[in-house]
Amino acid sequence: MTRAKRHAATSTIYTLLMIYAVWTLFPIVWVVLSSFKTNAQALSVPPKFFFTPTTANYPDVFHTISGFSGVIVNSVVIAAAGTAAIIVLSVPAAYGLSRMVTIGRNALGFGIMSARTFPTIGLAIPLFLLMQDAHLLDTRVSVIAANVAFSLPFGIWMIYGFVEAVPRELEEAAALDGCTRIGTLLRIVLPQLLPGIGATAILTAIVAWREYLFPLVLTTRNARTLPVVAGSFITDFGTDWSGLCAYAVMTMLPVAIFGAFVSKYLARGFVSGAVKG
Amino acid sequence: MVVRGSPERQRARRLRWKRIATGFAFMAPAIAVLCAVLLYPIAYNVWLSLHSYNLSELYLGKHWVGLHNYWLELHDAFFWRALRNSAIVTAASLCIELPIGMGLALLLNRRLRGHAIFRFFFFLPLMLVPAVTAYMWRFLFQYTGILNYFLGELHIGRINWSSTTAGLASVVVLSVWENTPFSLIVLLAGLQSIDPEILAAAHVDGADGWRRFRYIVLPLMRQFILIVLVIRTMDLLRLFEEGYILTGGGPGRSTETLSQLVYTQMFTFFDVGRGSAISIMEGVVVVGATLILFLTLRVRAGQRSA
Repeated sequence: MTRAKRHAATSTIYTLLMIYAVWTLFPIVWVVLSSFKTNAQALSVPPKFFFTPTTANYPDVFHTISGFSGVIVNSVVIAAAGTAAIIVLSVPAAYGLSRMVTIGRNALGFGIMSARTFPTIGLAIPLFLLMQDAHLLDTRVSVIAANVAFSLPFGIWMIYGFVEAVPRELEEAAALDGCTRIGTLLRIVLPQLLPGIGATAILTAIVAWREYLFPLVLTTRNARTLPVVAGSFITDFGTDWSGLCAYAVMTMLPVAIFGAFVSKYLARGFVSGAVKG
Repeated sequence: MVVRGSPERQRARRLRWKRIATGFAFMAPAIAVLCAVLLYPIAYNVWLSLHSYNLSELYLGKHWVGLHNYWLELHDAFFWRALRNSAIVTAASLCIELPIGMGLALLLNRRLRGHAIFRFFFFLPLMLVPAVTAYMWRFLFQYTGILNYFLGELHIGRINWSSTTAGLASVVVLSVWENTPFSLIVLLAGLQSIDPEILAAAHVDGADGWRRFRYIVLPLMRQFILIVLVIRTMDLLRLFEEGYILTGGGPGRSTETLSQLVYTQMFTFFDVGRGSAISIMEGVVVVGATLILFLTLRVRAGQRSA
């Protein structure tokens, strides 16, 4: 390729990348801008690109959404507790499956696939009725249980992949030295699993953090999570669009910062989860 | 030499079974939890779908009706409309997401200066909370909103996004914006797994860019494309919050998707039996679509290598 031709190719690529970047970023930028407007300015015709910014929408989020700090606590607790439960259950299960149970592995793989295929709403109906019978509606426990139901098969499968990658020689040596199975798992395998556990934990926590349907169905007031309270800005008296934008920015910020750090992990996790799942 | 039924043989067998039993002991807590929160509820859902049970008529109780709920749904225009809407949204989104994701993956795979920052920008939509993203787009799709302003400037004219066709289109736009990064991530990983020497060899042999893509890259990427297709088909067929938040199924109930229809039956009409029946049929549709994708792409793969 000649130099001029290569130069032309490079600038075409950059142009295409820029176009897609504008398409991806503009909605986010516009929402961030609108969060500093008054509600009247948010949908004004023609749209205002330059305006005197106001920060009033941000404190107002706490008024519009009753108990907003409690909602944040719910989201954090539900994501953390569900993830902890999934990891504690997945690690021994994956270890047992990888090292001892030589039968029924394909059945598990099939189970994972069917668990992924079953519509979330089809799980939400029976869980709603069962939680109602158990008087657990509108508690964090109900949402945690639903998230565990949805993500545990995925967690086992992902950690199973990481256990398979741990070499077995050390374990055999430990067994010869009289170490029990549990001792081997805790002392030999677990330390080598930590990066894999970290990746799995991040993915399951993100799934729980984003989940909308389960908290929508299972909670009404006390156990609401961040995604379901967004509707509070839309009332019979009108919609507080600039307030909604401020709320959106507040939920975006932590995830985007977090995401910047773990995006590499995330990509790998998505792919490995996808390939195996 | 170990003889059949010899003490050594028996001992080895005993040890094997002991090992498997220990393995199941390790798996027992996870299996117990899965039974309690996943298998039992799903079985309960199937049981409910065979009963007449309405939460607004609790005095009638639950009684066995066999497949009557399924029969009712199969003769209900709302069911077929929801099925059609889900199919349209799935097909349209896939047709846009996959090619764009592939194109972006090819561009980013060149690793030009600044590709990392582009990658971060492109991944952003995937990191946001989907429900919040849906509300965000509901704001952008307002009649006096920014999207219609640009459409007006481009002399296309403002679109009333709350009509049936435009409503479905808005759901497609949202899911494309949100999920193209997923195709990008998986396909980029696929491209990076291709040995550059193969492409260099083809280049030497005189294959131009398009042919290298068509006859080398595409066949090698088949597994990754299949992953994107299968996972996205499953997710799109089960699509709920995008439609629920963006259009609310409106105008009327004309843009309802399958999951939204289940929600309406369950939480608007309190008809548990019919809601359960639809959710089971939705599961069947998802499994069916997945199987068809697997079989067609596998078969075609076999023909090509033969």
